[in-house]
Amino acid sequence: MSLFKVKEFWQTKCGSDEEFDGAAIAVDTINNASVVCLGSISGFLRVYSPSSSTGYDVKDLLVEQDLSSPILSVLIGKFIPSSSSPAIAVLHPKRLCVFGLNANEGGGGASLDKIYDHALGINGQHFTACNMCYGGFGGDSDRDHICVQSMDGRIQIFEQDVHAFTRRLKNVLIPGPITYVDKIDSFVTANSQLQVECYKYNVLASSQSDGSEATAQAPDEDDLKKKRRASVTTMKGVTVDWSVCVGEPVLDIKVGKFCSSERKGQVDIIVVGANCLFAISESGSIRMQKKLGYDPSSMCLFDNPSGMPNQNLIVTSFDSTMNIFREQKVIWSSKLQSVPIACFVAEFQGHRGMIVTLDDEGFLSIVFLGTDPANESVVAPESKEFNYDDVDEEHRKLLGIIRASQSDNRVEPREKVVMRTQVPKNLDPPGSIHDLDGGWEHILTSCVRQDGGILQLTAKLFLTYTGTGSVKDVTCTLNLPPCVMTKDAAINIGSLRGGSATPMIIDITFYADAYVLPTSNVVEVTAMFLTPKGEPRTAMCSMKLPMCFFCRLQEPVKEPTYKFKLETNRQPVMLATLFDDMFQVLGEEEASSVGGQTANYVLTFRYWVNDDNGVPLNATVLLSKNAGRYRVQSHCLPALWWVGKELCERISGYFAATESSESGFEMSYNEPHLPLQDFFTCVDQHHHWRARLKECQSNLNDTSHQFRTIEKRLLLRFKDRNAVPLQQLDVLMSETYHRLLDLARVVEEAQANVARSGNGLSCAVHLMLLFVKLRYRLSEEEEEVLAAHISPVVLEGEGCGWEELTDLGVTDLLRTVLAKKSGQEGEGSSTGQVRVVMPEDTNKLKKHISIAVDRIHKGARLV
Amino acid sequence: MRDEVDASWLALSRLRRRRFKQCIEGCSRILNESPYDQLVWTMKARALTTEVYVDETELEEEGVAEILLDDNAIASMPRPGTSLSNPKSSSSDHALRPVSSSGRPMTGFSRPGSSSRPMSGMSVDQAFKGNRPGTSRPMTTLGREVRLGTASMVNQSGVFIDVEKLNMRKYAARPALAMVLVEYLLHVEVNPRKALELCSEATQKEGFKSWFWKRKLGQCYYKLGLYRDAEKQLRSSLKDGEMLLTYFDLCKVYLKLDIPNTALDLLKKAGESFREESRVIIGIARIYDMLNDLENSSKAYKMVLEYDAGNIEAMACLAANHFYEDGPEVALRYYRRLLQMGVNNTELWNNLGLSCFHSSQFDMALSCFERALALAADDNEGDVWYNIGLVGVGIGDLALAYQAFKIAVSVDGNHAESYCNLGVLDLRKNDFDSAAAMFATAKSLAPFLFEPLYNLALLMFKRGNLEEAYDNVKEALVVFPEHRESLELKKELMGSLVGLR
Repeated sequence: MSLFKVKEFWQTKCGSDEEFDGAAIAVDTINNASVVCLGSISGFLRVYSPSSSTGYDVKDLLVEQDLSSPILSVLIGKFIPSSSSPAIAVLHPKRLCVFGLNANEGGGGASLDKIYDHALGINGQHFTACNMCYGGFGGDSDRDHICVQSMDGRIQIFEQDVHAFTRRLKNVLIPGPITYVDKIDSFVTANSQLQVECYKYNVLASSQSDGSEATAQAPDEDDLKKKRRASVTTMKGVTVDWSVCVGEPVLDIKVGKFCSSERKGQVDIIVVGANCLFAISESGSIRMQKKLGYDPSSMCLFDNPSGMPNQNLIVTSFDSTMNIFREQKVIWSSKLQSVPIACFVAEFQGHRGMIVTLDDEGFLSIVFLGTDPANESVVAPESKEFNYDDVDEEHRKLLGIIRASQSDNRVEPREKVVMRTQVPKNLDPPGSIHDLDGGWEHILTSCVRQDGGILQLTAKLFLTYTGTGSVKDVTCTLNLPPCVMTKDAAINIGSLRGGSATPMIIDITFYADAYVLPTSNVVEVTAMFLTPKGEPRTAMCSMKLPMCFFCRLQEPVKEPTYKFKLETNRQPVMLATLFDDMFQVLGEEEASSVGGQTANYVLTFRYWVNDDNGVPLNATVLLSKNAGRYRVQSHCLPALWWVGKELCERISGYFAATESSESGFEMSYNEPHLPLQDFFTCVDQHHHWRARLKECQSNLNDTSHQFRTIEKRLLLRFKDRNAVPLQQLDVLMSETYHRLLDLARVVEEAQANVARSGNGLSCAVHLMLLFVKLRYRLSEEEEEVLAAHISPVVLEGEGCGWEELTDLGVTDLLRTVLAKKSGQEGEGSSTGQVRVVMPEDTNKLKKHISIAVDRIHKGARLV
Repeated sequence: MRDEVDASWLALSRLRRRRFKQCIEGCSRILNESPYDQLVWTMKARALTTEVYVDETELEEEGVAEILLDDNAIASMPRPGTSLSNPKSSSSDHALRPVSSSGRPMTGFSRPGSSSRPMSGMSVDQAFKGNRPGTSRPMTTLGREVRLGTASMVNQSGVFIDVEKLNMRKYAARPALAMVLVEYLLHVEVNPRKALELCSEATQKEGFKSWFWKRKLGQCYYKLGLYRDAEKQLRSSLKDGEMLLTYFDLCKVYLKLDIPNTALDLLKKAGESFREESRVIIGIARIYDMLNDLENSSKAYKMVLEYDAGNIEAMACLAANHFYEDGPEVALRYYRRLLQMGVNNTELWNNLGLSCFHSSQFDMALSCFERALALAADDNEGDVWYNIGLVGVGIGDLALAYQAFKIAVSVDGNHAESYCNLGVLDLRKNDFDSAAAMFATAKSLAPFLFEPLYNLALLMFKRGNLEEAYDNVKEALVVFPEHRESLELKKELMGSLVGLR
């Protein structure tokens, strides 16, 4: 990572598909021009002299010559005997050649003249060169000598054109970089034990030459290899001046003045290892260590341009950056184009401090530091003109979607099942008993028989699916009032086609129950299904069964045991008009016999239900001839409800149809007191039967316990090996058994009675609610509250009964909305845990209901 | 006739140029012909080693087993400021700086090991969740040490070096081979046991005088988890040769032993021997960072920049410090510098956006976030959206904020901070149930955050659920003992609860 990148001054690509080593490049001044001398592993030697300031020019390549042998290393120095002009030393695996560079006459390039060459080793054998260094060995400042290191750690010294001597270095397995330190006249190299070693030239020269090694005629390669192996372990004559362990492989060694110090002429040996940079003094102590946070690829010391005595150091890395150190400080870092394997600093065309870099594919460039930003990786995003209208539009649309998904009232899916019903006004022709054969006996036992058949009514249910495709597994559930029966309370439809297909029609046949007084005529149909997305959905519809399904006109009777009067503020409506549909059910004759002249003023309806004496229950409606007063009467209180309700609905419906809604039609019940006593009689009756049922069940329980005990004893007797007389236990058992059967029958009867009285009670509650509503002109809301507390739905079963629940409800009413002091409203509402049990008697309940009605009478409102 | 280049020379040249693949191929070819060529053998071993070399002076990722079964810490209940698991907490930081999963303030630079240091009593769940729950997988037992063998290791005759058959004593007698071999064993084979065997033989051969072998011994002991032995060897190695890298090794051992102050002293001593060495100063800064001593760490980072102006870690940490110390403009300059240095990732753009926003450069802020989103990967996109949400809160565009947080949790289902803020926004909408659910989610995802705990406690308190409020405020105070609002709430709760009795 660096802030800047280098600026290109001059660059070229050398050769193609050639490989270059970092040692095979040298930069120096020859013939008053800076030249770059470059050898490739393929064996080409090139000499460049960058002369044009506009980048590479053909004329810049002075020489390109194929030396037909790999070039391992190139040096420029004073190698020509008795001449101080620079020459180029080229190291081949088996040879060392020195060339002079002469400019061609008449401009245009130069030519290489081989001045001398040496065969390495003994006549070019048994010696494979690795690298070399040069210097004025032995204090010879006028001439440069060359030291070549072989792959197996021998060095061969050439004093220009003369071979001086060959020595073997110690501990060399992989030959390390080698350099000559002028000041101490020594070679510094790195051995395979991760040490930096120093060999004095003098010592090397004077040490016992490894004669056998030098002169041995090692005839074949195997032998050489053996020697190479041996070299690791055996120590030969030369002695090491000093060695210091750096603990990591050494990449390169350079000599210069890098560390600041007071001493003049100090020399630092700069060692770059795999991870660290070391500066070692000439006496072999580590002067400086620095951890490099990258993998170094090459380094180069150069003179400080500001004239300071210390040199600066360039270290290039494999992430193609170049860091320049002044002592420990990074003073500059720059990005390069490629990974350099060698770098030099030199003067070109009068510009000092140009940096020459070479990568191993032959990309040679001369660069200088600049302040161009490092990379173009941060590009500006394509500056697209925003169409703000479009953006706004899209934003609005997205917001709409988001809002829709967040709001609570979610939009129902369009795919749904729609139901419609069609209920005929008249009954079906009497059905055959055989229709109910097989599984429908419970209907058969309680259904109403009439005209030699079964009273039945067939309604049609239409199902439509609005979505496309089809919906599967639609389940229709019928919620029937107690007095209505049907074969199947749940209808499963396998698949319902959607689209514009004709609706599916289902016939539902209803049967009336001959033992239950009607309380409601509404049948609710619920269809359940899964949408294609798998969400469960329901659809509901309800149908009202016609009045003729529940009762029938008969000749008027007058049994005014129970009666109530409704008053309207309108002219009377003829009863025959109100109940004309009931006449249509009857035949012509019967109609005239039933109605006759009085049909407009008196009508008697007969239910299917018989009273305790086997007489059908009936209710009579009487109309006052001169005022809108209607009277409903019957010998049985519950029987008043259904006819009374129908009457109310029909009168209201009549006036709603003929007049506008604001005309102020009113219906009222004007008795001073509600017939609470009659109502309580019903309550008492229901309670009585419940108590009776409880008693019977308890008896049954006792008896069955007794039965089991007897059984056990008998079993014991039978099992006993020495049989004991039965002592009339068998008689006892049979008696108990009979009693058990009797009691079970009694329980059944009691259950039926409870059901019947419950049905009666339900009607009575309905009636009371109607009275309260009409008497005190309750609003719909108030009516609902009251009905919730005094419920007309009487549920039977093991759990709570109507009495307990109603008592709780009324108590709650009295404590809250009907409380005496309105200021304390709601305070007492938090009751503790209440155990709901069947009360012993109904006195409390009756008292509470009376108080509640009294409070309403006195003007308390329920809402 | 054209001469051929020597194959072993070419391999050596390529090794220097880090052309490992070609180098290894070349070596293998030579070894096929002459399997006992030590030069080539050494080069191949070195190439294989260098190829997979990891700078071990840096801290390393810790595996689940190490996190859970870490019993190397000296003190089980360390005093504040003396242990990494119980760093000095300064109240201002906790409230201002986001914390990592171990409850330590975020530094500006994500480096391995620093943020995953276990708190005392970390549960198995937390250990397996890793650093950012849901997005990162923790290292398995041995951390980075487990590597599949590379194909290059296997030459035609099978394994390059059959470790089990090595005669360590024989190799120890040849130091040059041994030095290559020990690196190979440590880095390629990852067999510190064998390496240890070799090291002990070698150091014996050297007469217990070589710092190199002692350092390697220390490294082996470290890898085997024998930290006290490692310390002994490394200390002894420093006596024989004061090498920079040995200091880092020893420092690592001390951090493992959870005695950061000793590590700090050691680095300071190294700093005296190696003046102006930036890596030492960075080490010091990192330890200060781990101890929550931000003042000293920023001082150290600044010093690092003096010596190495291109140090990204120091820049990032300084930027973060400035940002959280109310200097977004200064932080912005550091972040811009990082950008110029060539760092181009989601996190940087995200930080740039935040700094721009806090220094009131709203137009720049949004385009920075756009860039961040364009570069984001799955594991950090949630964070960017979270910050966009914060900007939304900052400019009062709560709808934007709400949507941004929603996106954040949809991208990263474990983004506890977003859940917490969604809860706060729900509170503003009077949607108490949803808010409570959000806080509870945040709490379960990030037990190291005190904000959801406090918020939940406050909400419960306001709704009259004193008991739950008390429980939550107690948990919040465990996470952040000096949180003043929590303390106040707890006092009030105590009053209410006593009054009830």
